[in-house]
Amino acid sequence: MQSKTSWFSKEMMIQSFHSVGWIALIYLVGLLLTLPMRILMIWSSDDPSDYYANHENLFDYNGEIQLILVYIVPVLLAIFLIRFLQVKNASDFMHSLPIKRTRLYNVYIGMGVIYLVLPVLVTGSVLMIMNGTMDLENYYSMKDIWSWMGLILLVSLLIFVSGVFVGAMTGMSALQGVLTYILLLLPVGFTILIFMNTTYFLYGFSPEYYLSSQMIRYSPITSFFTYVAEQGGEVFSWLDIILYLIMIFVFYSAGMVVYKKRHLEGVSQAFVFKSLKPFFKYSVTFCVMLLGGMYFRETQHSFVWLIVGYVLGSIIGYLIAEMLLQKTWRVFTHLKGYLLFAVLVAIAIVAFRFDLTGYENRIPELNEVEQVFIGQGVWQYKLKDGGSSNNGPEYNQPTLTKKENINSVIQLHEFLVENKQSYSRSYHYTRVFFIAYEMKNGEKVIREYRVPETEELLTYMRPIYEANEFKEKTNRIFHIASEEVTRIAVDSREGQVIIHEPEKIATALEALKTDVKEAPYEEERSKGPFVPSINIYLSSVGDQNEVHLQFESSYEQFKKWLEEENLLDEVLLDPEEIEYAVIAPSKDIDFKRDDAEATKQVIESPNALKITSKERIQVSLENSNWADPGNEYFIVFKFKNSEAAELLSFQNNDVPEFVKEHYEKAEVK
Amino acid sequence: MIQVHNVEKRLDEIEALSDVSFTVKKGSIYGLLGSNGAGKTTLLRIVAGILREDEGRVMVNEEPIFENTKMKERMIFIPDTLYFFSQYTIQQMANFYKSIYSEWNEERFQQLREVFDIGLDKKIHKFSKGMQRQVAFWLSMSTMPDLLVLDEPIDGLDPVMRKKVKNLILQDVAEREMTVLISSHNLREIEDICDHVGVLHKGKFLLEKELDDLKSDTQKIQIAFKGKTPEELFDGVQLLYKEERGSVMLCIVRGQADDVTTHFEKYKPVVFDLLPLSLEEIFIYEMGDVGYAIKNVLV
Repeated sequence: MQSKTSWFSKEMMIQSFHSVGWIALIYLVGLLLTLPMRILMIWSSDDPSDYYANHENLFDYNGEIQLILVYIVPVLLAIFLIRFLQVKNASDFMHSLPIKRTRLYNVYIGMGVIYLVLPVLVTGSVLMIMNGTMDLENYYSMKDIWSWMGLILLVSLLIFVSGVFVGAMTGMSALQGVLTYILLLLPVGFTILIFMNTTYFLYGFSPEYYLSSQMIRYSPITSFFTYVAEQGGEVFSWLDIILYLIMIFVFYSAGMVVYKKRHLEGVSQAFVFKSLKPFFKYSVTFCVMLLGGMYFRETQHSFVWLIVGYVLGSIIGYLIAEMLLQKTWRVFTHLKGYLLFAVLVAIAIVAFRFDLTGYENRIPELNEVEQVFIGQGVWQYKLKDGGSSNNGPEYNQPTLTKKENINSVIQLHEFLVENKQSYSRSYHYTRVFFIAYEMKNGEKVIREYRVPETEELLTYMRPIYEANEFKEKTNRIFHIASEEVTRIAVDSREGQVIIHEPEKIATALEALKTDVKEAPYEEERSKGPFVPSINIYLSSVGDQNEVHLQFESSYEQFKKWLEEENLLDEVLLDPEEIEYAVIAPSKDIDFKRDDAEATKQVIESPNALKITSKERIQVSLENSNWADPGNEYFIVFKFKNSEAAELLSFQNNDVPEFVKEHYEKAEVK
Repeated sequence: MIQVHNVEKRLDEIEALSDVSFTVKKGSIYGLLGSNGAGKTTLLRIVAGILREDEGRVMVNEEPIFENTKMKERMIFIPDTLYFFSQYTIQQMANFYKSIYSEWNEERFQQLREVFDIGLDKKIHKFSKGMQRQVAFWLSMSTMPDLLVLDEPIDGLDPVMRKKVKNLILQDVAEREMTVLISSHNLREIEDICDHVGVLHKGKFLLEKELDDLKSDTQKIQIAFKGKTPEELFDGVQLLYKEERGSVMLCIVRGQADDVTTHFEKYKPVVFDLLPLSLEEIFIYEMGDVGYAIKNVLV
């Protein structure tokens, strides 16, 4: 008897081809058009740029179409192949046949695998034949074909079996599709939601520290996208491939187990297992709540809006879930469960809000700390592990080990924590502090704060940033010997000075080192066009053979050195060259990216302050920065013997005293 | 052939079947009666091995039926809403059946073609409901099943076709001892072919009867006396129903015809007739109050 109904029945194959053959055909045609066809088009093109275009791998040809095919085709296949599970008549018919569920499952999964594999094999074969018969080594190699086939099969099979697994749990085809994508994206999405929302409650929590770029690997959708979009990124190591194979097997087996336990009466219901319904309902409510909160918080930056987002999100999520489960949109009376959820969430919010976990106030004791990193973001902390920056990662590692410096960081940290409330608003000039304590017991305490820059804050920052240890660890200049330097170039609007004699380089470098060490913290801010830049060129090979500095006004030693060499005038703007300068409050100016128009407005402004004294012009020159309507005052410098005028502005912290005094008096009047 | 023991089934929080037990003997035709929502379809889907009972046991040929391919191969379930693969012709569907059911009888299939007179290369989904039902019977009978489970099978068939289908079923029952479980919400539809009936009401089994017994065991009589009716008239008989029309009494009593006649003749009635009794009347009187509640099922 068993011999007649062989395991892989021909009639069942025919039937599955009747229902899903079209998907496989679309897939095949899609792949043939995106790859062999596209390559032929480029191959026969007259445009030499096509010929010389560098193709990393086969995903480089119409990668976006390949992505779409790989994302959609397996899910469509999963939906249509096991459509008989989601339609009552079909379900009853198929399950009244003398076929065990395991066999039904295996036959249909097997058919799905064949429909996914065959088009790839055919396309691969065509590519191989083309490769063997035509002159195509500029486009792809045999190895490219193998890795293309392997990768595309791996990802599409994983998406397919997860679609089948979801299909075995749900009773609706549309929901099966949606839930498959949700399931695949969940590892990435949920992590983001949780970490971002934690940030809103735990002052100092650093989501970026935990949300590493590695996270894209958690989902085949994001990792495959990154791989295709970024061309040969580091995703899909052998470990990834093994994990994918394991996951394919896990989803396949889980799908089988679930299917064997499936209650067929659940057909056309959202979930065929009762126990999944509340889980689904509250998970959706929770996730949409977090999403809503995140949306409003990121756009409005306020706690009130965060709560508004939570309320709206949770209601929407709850209603959507109820609608799916009840299969009607009239669910507005089923709110008992929501109220319970809302109460629990409210308790949790209060607990976090009042820091019942003690997270926010946890500042390490000085004697517990081994060393502390203080930087402007996680990116800088993670440069330890490689990456590149202008000065090279090894020269920008502010990991402080000296006791007094660690103490300064702790002082700053205490100040940040104590002034938490006042920092929730105002995002114009902000500064990010990323603090990573490495404790003597091996633990790490990671905090990140984004706060507005205030004078008070500066008093806590100075001891850290002016400390020699900090400067030595963040400035490459302390790590170069004069023998390495080929030349030092000073550039400004006025002209260029190049120092190339070895003895002069040695003395100039010494002067610069002293200046950098002595420079007060304020000087670190970006400067306007009148501040010359200093480039030190090194003999070392590689792209990091340049050290860049700003010629700050505090660099007395270097200034003296240039003066002695009679080079200072060539790079520094003499205030004598300025005829006058006009200052006006930016609120009077309608700044629309048109400097000439704004310049005119500044000069004609009724509140304008015109200065001609050399000292004031000098101070203004040193403190002025690029024009920015966000700054309180604009300033226009008018050059002598020229029509030229320069529109700049004072950064709010750099407004010269005389300007402040003038406008304070004006207000009193 | 079929043993159903204390089966319970909940569908979506609602008790669909509670404590249902009955037995269908080999070679018999069992009619399952019940109004809409009584649980007939659920019960049949369990017997067909599609749904799994929550409690109790469903045995076919002494074996649990769920996931039992050996038994399912000998059984055909024709649901009330039919399913065929989309775009399939009768021939394609027959090929499918042939590959699934090892006892497929091609000769029978060709013979039945004459009975139904439908072209083999026609697409089934284009047929009317009644035609589709004929196709379902055609394919099912060609697999030579030992057990046929039919959910409301007569619906949608015209009187000629009804007769044909009924004859086909009766023929297989007589020749091969095929067993049939058939559901209906209308007693009249199936009373001519069933030998047993069971009544399902709100998920519970109300009663189970052998029709021949039932018919011979209940009598409808018309009786009249000159003068007063003897008081002890009904002593010794089981009176199910009594109605007086003037001096004539209409009664339904339990008992064999001969015994009943002898009993009443004793009192020398002026009029005494045994009247024909329809099956639905038997049910209604037999079941008393419950009978009235499900009267619509029986008509």
